[in-house]
Amino acid sequence: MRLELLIVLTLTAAATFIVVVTSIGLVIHKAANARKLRQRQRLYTHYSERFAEILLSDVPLISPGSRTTTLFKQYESLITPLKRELEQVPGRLRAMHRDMLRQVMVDFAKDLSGETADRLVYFFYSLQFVDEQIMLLHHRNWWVRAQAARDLGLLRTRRALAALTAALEDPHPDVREQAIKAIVTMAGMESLRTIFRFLHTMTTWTAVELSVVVMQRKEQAVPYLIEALDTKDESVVLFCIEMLAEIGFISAVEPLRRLAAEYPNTAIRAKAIEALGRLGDERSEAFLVKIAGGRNPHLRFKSIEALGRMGVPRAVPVLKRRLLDGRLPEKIVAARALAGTGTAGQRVLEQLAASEKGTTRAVCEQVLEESTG
Amino acid sequence: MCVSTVSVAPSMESLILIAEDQQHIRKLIEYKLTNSGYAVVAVEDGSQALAKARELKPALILLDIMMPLMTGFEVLSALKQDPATKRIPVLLVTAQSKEEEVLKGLEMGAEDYITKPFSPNELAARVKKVLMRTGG
Repeated sequence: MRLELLIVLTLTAAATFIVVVTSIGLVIHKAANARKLRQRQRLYTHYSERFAEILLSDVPLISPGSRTTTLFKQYESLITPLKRELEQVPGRLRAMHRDMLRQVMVDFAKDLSGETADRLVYFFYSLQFVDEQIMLLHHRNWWVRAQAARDLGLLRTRRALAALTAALEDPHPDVREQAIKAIVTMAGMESLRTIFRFLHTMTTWTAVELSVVVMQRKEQAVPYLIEALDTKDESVVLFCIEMLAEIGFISAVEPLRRLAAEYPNTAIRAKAIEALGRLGDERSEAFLVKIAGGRNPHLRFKSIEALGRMGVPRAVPVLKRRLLDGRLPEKIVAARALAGTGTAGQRVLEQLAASEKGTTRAVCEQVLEESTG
Repeated sequence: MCVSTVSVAPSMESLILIAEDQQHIRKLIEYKLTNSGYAVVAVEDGSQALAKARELKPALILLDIMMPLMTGFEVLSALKQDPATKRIPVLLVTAQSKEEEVLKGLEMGAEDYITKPFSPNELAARVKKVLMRTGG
């Protein structure tokens, strides 16, 4: 009995001790974190003020014919005091100082343009952040690599272009996404050629990100999208087809028609046919009519859909045949395409609704009701 | 609460109120406008901006649209409804490619706008132009 009581008491004391020690540990940890956070905030404020001053300090005017190095010397004289200040920071704190300084510079880069932004880029090089960021593109944590790519883009550090191009093959999609943005920011739309060449198996997010870039420039992107239709990676080809259809530039008709006729993968051919329908150019009518009467059911279906979207009167005979011979989904899409062709198609639907029986009749009646209702 | 006052030119005609939540850019604008000879008061959110505008009646308000507590639009709307502040010109600071924001702001009575990223020299030029136009 005594022994049991002793054991219980010992266990209780041990448990209490563990709880107390853990609580104290947590409190100390929290206090240390709060202190670190306050310290970082103070540093951010300090470097915001210092940098605002450095970025806006007047430099003597230089003549237009002067060498670039003259301007850089002036910039260097502005940043030198800050460099000295950093050198005097004790080793263990220097990393935190540099981190906050880099953060301030990146934040400035988001909001500034003109000569002030050029100055900022010079300072980023001069403080050796560019080399650091390029090295971080190889960091084992993907989020560090993604942030490095983003920062290099924001600061338009052209020296990093090769490293960013290599990052297009990074295993993590977020890193690839940031690398795309950075490269386009620095090198403009021409960089799309490189991006498409290096991209492999585009994720949805990469596609979304890249589509934003493409849709901002639309026509300027068209030549690069057409060129990339010959890329080996099918996800890139699908992306380019979608973008060409979305932009709606007619120079895309012929390359898309060729792709729809010759590409080995049916899914790509189907996507190209859909794009032709969306472009709605009359030069693709004959081709679509031919495919609508062809053997491949998937391509046939897509062509009928495209013809329906375009409303092509010369497609009435082939659409009528598909309505009579096709399976139910094909009948429905062919009937709708007929309704879209105008009077001739409407007449065919009325005739078939009167003469046919079963499914064909039901489909015709349904579509006629849709088109009149 | 962060309100910083810089009194370089103590004339009330040249007092500019900056409402910007991002510390680094607030510091930069403050520095630029102070160097350009204006008195500057800077605040970090919409409600402080409104309170300071009513209290100080600045010659111009530089108003960021995306701010905590009250957005720039809410501040602008409140300013334009108040007879005491409705004549104060407002220069909006907007994010890039937000055309609808600009149009909305101008319709609500803002005098002009500047889009991020911006050049500090351009900002100072616009401030000067708005003040000349409005007699500030």
